[in-house]
Order: sequence, then structure tokens, then C-alpha cells
Amino acid sequence: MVRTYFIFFSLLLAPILSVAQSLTVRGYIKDAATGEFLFGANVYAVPDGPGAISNEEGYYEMKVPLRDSISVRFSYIGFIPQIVAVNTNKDTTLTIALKPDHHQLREVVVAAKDPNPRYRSSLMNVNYLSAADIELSPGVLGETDLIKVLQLKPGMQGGNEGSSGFVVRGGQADQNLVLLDGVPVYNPTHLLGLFSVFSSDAINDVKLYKGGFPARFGGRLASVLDVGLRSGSKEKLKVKGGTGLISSRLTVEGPLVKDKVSFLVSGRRTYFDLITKEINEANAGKEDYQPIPDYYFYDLTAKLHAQLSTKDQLSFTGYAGRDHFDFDGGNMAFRFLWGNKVGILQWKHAYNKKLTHNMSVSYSDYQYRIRHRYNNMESSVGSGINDFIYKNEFFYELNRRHTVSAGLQFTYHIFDVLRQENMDNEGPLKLRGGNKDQVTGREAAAFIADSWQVSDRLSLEAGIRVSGFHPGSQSSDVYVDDVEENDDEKVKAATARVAAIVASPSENGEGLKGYIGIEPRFSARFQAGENLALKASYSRANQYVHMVSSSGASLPSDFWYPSNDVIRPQIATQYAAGGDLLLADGRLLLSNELYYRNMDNQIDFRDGAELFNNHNVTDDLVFGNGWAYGNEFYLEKKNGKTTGWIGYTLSWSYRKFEEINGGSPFPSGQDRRHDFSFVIRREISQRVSFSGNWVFCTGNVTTLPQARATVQGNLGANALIVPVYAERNSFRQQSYHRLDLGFVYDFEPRWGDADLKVGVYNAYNRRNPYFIYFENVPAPDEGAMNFTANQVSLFPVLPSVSFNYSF
Amino acid sequence: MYRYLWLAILAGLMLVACEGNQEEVSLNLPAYEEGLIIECYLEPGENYRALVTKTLDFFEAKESETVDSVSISLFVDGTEKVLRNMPVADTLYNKVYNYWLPEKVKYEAGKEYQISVAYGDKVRATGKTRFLPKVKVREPYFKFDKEVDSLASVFVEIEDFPGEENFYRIVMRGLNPSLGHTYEGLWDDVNAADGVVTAITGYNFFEGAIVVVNVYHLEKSYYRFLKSVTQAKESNYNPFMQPAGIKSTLEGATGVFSAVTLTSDTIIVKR
Repeated sequence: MVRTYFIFFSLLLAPILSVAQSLTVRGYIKDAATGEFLFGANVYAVPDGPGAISNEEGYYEMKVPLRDSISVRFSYIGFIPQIVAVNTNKDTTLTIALKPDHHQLREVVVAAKDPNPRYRSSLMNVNYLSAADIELSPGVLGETDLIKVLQLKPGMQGGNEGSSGFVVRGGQADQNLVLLDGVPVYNPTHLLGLFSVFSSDAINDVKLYKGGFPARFGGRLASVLDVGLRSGSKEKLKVKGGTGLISSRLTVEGPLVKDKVSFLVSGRRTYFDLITKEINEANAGKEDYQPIPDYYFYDLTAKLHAQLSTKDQLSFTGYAGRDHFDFDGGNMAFRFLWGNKVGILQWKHAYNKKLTHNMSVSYSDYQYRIRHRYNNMESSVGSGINDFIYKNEFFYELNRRHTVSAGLQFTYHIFDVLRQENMDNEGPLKLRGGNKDQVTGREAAAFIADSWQVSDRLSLEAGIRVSGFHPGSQSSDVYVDDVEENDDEKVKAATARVAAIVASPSENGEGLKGYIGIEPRFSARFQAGENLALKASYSRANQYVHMVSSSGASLPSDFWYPSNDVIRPQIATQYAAGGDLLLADGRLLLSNELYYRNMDNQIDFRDGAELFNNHNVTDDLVFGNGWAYGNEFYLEKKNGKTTGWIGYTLSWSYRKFEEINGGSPFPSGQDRRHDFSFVIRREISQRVSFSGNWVFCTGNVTTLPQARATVQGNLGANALIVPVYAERNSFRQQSYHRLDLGFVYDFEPRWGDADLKVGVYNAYNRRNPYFIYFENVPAPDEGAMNFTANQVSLFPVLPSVSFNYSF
Repeated sequence: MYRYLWLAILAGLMLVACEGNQEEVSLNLPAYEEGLIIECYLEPGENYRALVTKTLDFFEAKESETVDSVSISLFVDGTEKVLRNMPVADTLYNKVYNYWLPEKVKYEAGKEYQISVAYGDKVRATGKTRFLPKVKVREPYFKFDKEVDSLASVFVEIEDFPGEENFYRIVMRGLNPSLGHTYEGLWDDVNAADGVVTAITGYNFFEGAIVVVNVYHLEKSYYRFLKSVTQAKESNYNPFMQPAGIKSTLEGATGVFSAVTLTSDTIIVKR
């Protein structure tokens, strides 16, 4: 009996004893130079573990079995590791500041800090990038760019020059949600996709969710590009910049209150227009001289961050950018302006170690305007979208196995669907009239999700998002200026009639139908072996705002339109499965992901639809469905003097509309059978490094004529040669491929860092197809037709030199 | 105006892309099935006639090729008129036809015609049309340019038909090309204010020019045909437009069968 009681009490005491046999080590890890918290830093109890990884707030926590002495090693790529002895008597809080190792920073790049974020995450469908990944790419015209680097990864299509959006897993450009510190950016590129709007010097980290995104994201079908900015150094003033052939950039950051409040301001502007203006002025008098269009863009990003207390952070992020394109060909001229303005105010509060709360209010604005003059007629067309957003999120660490998040979001949209103005300053009418059609909409969502560590091998992310949308009011403003006083009565009356027609209001009815969507999200990770992780995911997403584009290419002049009685929300369901395998002692990561996405209520234009000057543009929309599927392979080497990756995607993307191609499925404009990228970085010496990319993509589909017809017309009409078009997207253009090279020479001055980058985009001047048109050129035989097919390419070989510095 | 906007954007892009970024390429265009193109306009005062051609490969050297193996019948008031297959040239207007009747077309508002095009014993295409009421054109007037006072703009007003959809084509052409440009435009009811459609040219005509003003009252199907033909042509040069197919007024073939309702006037540009 005594033995029984002894065993019983031993069992009772066992949990108490086991707790007493370990202690908790927790705290924060930050950059000693800037004071910024480090996401993904490694924490490891030497020599046998356990270990942990710091989260986005730089926070880590782990339980360490008691022993005579405990030392914890803190490490992070590009920083000097630290080993700290821990008090073995009680739980310990350690906040560590790691010092940057400038030499090591250049050795390792490409694909985030380590394989760890991708490998260890229970989320699949994610590409991670750090600022260093972007910095060491060859870039374009001296500018490194995050979208250009992401396009080298499987899942985001490359070879989309001439398009202002990007394509992820066969989805359209409007199906990507682009966030800058949590606020949407509607047009994230400059110069038709050659550059993104994000300042590489201000970026902290980038995550691209290729569908299957967590429940806290919504409103789009294909992807979420989540760009996080740095907060700025709270330690000291720092300057970073660069000057190249066509652009310069400057980033200044520093403390406003040391260790408490920091600022970061980053700006960039191209100056190609200054060069073209000089060339145009020098050739102004020459006969047959075609002036070169003026073009420039600028970006300005600013962030203010205040660590109000150990529990509270307050930050404000703002961005403004614009593209300006000006062409004056004498009789014909146009000016094209477009740009974004965004701002977000965020408050983060930690109630305790387990419960944190993020609240934000934000604003996003995108506008474009085209002013056009043909002979004496002037017109102006524009469109835009404004969002006012309120977001509230809670994160609660229930226990070591469960972290629950929940939140809600409300967005008020204002769509300037069409603003147009017509002027005839020199013509007989001298009228000025216009109208503006505006539509509003309210979007809301609530979500709850759980990150569940089921066991040492199995982790799950499960959540549900409930979203809703209700279109709001629609209004039209019209105006007409007075006619010229000296005209006779007949001309005045005619002018007034024409002016009234020009300024006629839209005939679109009010759509009052609301929509609700249930969006489950699920992903799982199973550690099948020591180095093998298997993953699977399922997600459903609704999209209530849609970009209306009359072409396969997404242009800055495409406009956004809300769901209403006619335009139903787009819905996508995605299934994905795959695995990550670490090879060669973790130096290589091999990843394979299969996906299938089904899309309902897809939108397109019927053949021959007119986008401009069409008050009832929605009458020309057609609705159908689509599907996309593929397999993404990825092999990456992260360590050593030579790093890089190989990515290959085999994919299909289809659409089906009853009104197009007789209802038969056809390849979408995003269909790209093969997409291959090869990326290499090599440290040649301590001062010299080399980077190179080669990409290959199957050509885009397009619609070309299959024949021609001669339409004579009746008496008084001219005969016309008219193309007879084949089915939509029945022709595939030539493949796209491109080689980019870059060399960096590091000066290593005493006052800071400086380097010279020499690069070339499209090194062998591949003429990648942009579009094809047909021209009748003079034939050897008089009277014979001689049509030729001409292919237009956009960007030839583009060499660059830039000098970059930081101190 | 907006089609020129797209051309302007395209021109800008091509200039950015530089001359050297265009090249002639050889293409294997999608295979096509030869199709008939049938044009039959019933023009009052002119013979019953039609032009039947076929679509050609885009790179074919021939401008067009006639098809002489079909039979064309017109039906009106219960009678059938079978057009004869013979080549006919209108040298005044530079038009050619390969089906013709010696009988002249007479205008009668509301009269309906049908067409049947057969290949062997099989009917390939059918269509119908009717003469619409003639448009009342008010007396045109001018406005002279203050800067170049010998140049004038011509104002043409037509009275719209209330209570129904109407479509118009307005062509103003100077008899002497050196004294002015040709103006042409398609209009519909949306362009009517106070029951009047007003077409205004730029300062296109010199004083003394003799201008023929032709106003066509179009059926909706013919209006859509004309627009689609223009859009299909312009799609060739515009990568930002969805290509347009020709909207035929016929069932079973591509083309147009239309009764031409024309109101004409001739004016002299003078103060």
C-alpha cells in the first residue's frame, strides 16, 4: 500500500517536477545599428537545442530543459552571432541587439534569410524576399526592383513588359492585392511594368502569397503581395542613395527621439525627360523630325515610427508617386498622367505576452488622366479609385500550440468611373463640356483563424473569412461652358446642342444588390522526414472590385468598377499540394507545388467593345468562368560564394464565355505554358560580385487575323481592306527570353559603404514580341497587295551604370 | 476622336520602343475557311447589282477575288429578280460588280426587299432590308475661321425621327479636292438634341468650294456593319483593343444587304 501511495504521489508530482525541470527564455532580437526588430532570427540552446525563430515583431520564446549551464546562441544572416549565458534558476527575458556583419551580407542572398521561412512555415504558396535579395539582383537601368526579382520565382510570370500589372498563377492583374505596410496600392508599377513603385532602400521584407493566403487577407483572388517597410533607425542618422544614368534615389532615416521615435524618407526620380527635352529642342527646326516623348516618374515614401512604451507602437506610412508621359507631334499631342497616393496610421498594442492588437486607418488613391489634342480638338479622359479603410486585428497565443487571430475590416470605395471633358479651342464651336460618373461601394470582412501545432510533425493553419459588399450611390456631374458671343444665332444654337450632347449624363442604373461570401482557408504542414516537409492547402476567396480592361495588356488607363446587379463578385477556389526537401545538409532547398484554381464570374469585353467615350461600358461586358493549374519546381542554393536558384513552372490558364469563341474554352491572356528562370550570384572577390538572370517564357497568346476581306462600300465610300479575325487568343507569339547581367565593385570607403554597379538588361538585345500588326507596303508588281507582318518590341538592350552609397 | 487617342498612345509607345524595335516577321496565321463577302446596295437610280468576293489569305498578292458561282435572287412585292453574273464597272465612282440587272432601283419608303444567295441548290445566305424615310436636311450654313478667313466650317443639321432608334451617316465632300477635305461620320440618336442632329466639320473648306452633302438614313444592322468594319480595320494597329469581327447584315455569310436612303444637297461655301 505504501508503494501504491508512493507511486500515486509520484505521478501527481510528476507534472510539477517536469515544469520545474525547464525554464522559459523569451525576449526580442533587434538590429544593433538601426534598432529594428529582426524577423526570422535563429535562437538555439547550445549544444543540443531546442531552438526557436523570432516572429515578425522580433519576439522569440522557447522552453529549455534545466542543466548546469545554459547558453543561448542568437544568429541572423548578415549579423555577427552572439552567445549569451542564461540564469538557470528562473525564466529569463533576453533582448539582444545583433551587430551587422557587412562582409557576410554580400555572401548570402536570394530567397530570404534561410530556407527556414519557406521550409518551416505551415503556409505554402509563399515566396519570401528580404531587402538584401532585391539589392543584389542585376536590376534595370541601375534600379533594383522587387517585382522584377519576384518574377524570377515560380508562380509570378515574367515577360510581361508593357503591362502595368503582374500575373500570378494564371490570374489577371486585378486579382492581386498589393499592400504597402498594409494599405492597398492599385497600380504598383511605373513605365508599363519595368519598375515597381516600391523603394528598394526602404523595404524590410516582402511576402508573396500565391493564392491560399491567410484569412486576414481578402478582396482578391490570385495573390497578396505584402510589402513591409523599415521603420528607420532609432540609433543614428543614416543616408543611402544612388545615382544612375536615368534616375537617382535618396533615403534618409534616423531618430527623432533616440530609441523611441524614428523617421524614414525615401525618394526617387528619373530624369530621362531632361535629356529628351534637350534633344527635341536641338532638332526642333528639322523637317520630318519626330520628337521623342518626354517621360518621367517619381516616388516619395515616408514612415514615422514611435515606440511609445514596451507595449505600444504607433506608425504612419505615406507614399506618393506619379508617371508623366508627354508627346507632341504637331497635329497630334497627348499627355498621360497616372499615380498613387496612400497613407496608413497603425497602432500596435501588446496587452500582455499573449495578446496583441493591431488597429489601423488608411487611405488609398489611384488616378489617371489622359489629355489629348488632335488638330484643334482637345479632350480629357480620366478615372480613379479612392479607398477609406478601417482594420482591427487581434492575435492571441492561447498556449504553445494555438495562436488564434481574429479581426474585421471595413472599406469605403469611391470609383470615378469616367471623367471626360471636351474642348475645341480653335475649331468652330469653342465649347468646353464634360461629365463625371461616380459610383461608391462598401466592403466589409471579419475573420477568425488558428495556427495549430498539432504535434511535433504536424501543423495546421485554419481560418474562415466572411466578406460582404454593397454598391452605393451613383452620380453624374455635367457642365458646359458658354459659347462664343460673336457667333450668329444659328451657330450658337448648334454649339449649345452639341455641348449638351457632349455633357450628357450616364445612363447606368443604380445597383442595389449586395453580396456576402464565406471564404474558408486551410493549410497544413507535415514533417515527413528529417528534411522533408509536405504541405497542402485549400482556399476560397471573393473579389468585389474589378479592373475593366479592353485589352489583354493591363494599362494605367484601365479603370476599376464595383460589383453591382450586373457584375457579380469574382470567386476563386484553389487547391494546392507540394513538398519542400532540404538537401546537402540544408544548403539546397528543393520545392515542388501543384495547384489548381477555379474562377467564377470572370469578366471580359465582348469583341469590338469600345472602352472610351462609352457611358454604358458595362453593357459591353461579358461574364464567364476560368481555371488555371500548374506545377512549380524550385531549387535554391543559399550559402557559399555562389548562390542562386532555378525555377520552372508548367501551367495552363483558360477562360470560357458564351459570347466569345462561340462558348468554347480558350487560353486566357495569362496562359504561359513554360516559365523558366535561372538566377546566379557569385562573389568573385571581397570587392567584386557578379549576378545574372536568364528567363524563358512561352510566348503570349493573342488574336490575329486569319484572312482579309475587301469591302467596297456603296457609292461615295472608299473601299477598305478589312482583317477577318480568328478566334480570340488563337495565336501564340514567339517565346520571350532575356539575359540580365550585373557587376558590383565595392569601394569599402571609411565613411560608409559605396559601390559601382554596371549592368545590362536584355544583354543580347532579344526582340521580345509586344504586339503584331499588318501593313500593306509597296509591291514590286503595281496593283498587287503586299502585306507584311510587323512585330513591335518594347525594351531593347539597356545598359546601366550607377553609383550607390550609404553612411 | 477617341480612335485617334489610341493611335496617339500607340505612336508614343512605338517611339519609346525606337524604330529599331520593329521588324518584319513571318507568321503561320491560324488556318481559315474561305468565306463569301457579299455586298448588295439598293441605290435608287442605279441598277440592281452586287459584288461577291471571297476572303483571301492575308499575304495573298491579289487585292480581291470575285466569286461567280453563286446565284443571287432579290424578292420584292412577291416577285423574284435574279441577278445575272456579269462584270460591270462604274468608272465614275470606281466601283465594280459581278452581279447585275438592267433594271433600276426605285425608292419607295417602307418597301422591303429580301435577298437569297445560293451555291448550287443550297441557299448559303439570306437577308432583308427596307427603304427608310428620307431625312430632312436643313439648309447647311458656314462659319469662317477668324485666323484664316478663307477657310470655313460647314454646319449640317438633320431632323431626327422621334420615338424610335435612328442611325445616320453624313458625308461632306468637296467636288474640287484642292478646296477642301472630306468629312465623314456615323451618328445615332444619342447625338440628337432638341430633335436635331448637328454635324460640324472643322475649318476644312475654302471659300468657293462646292460641297456635296450626303446624308444616309441607315438601318441599325447597316450602322453596326459600318462600325464593325472600321473597328476591325483599326484593331490591326491597336494592341489595346479587342479585335472586332465584321457584323454582317446577312445570315449565313459576311456582308451587307442594304437599301440606301439618301438625302443629298450641294452647297457653295460663300459669305
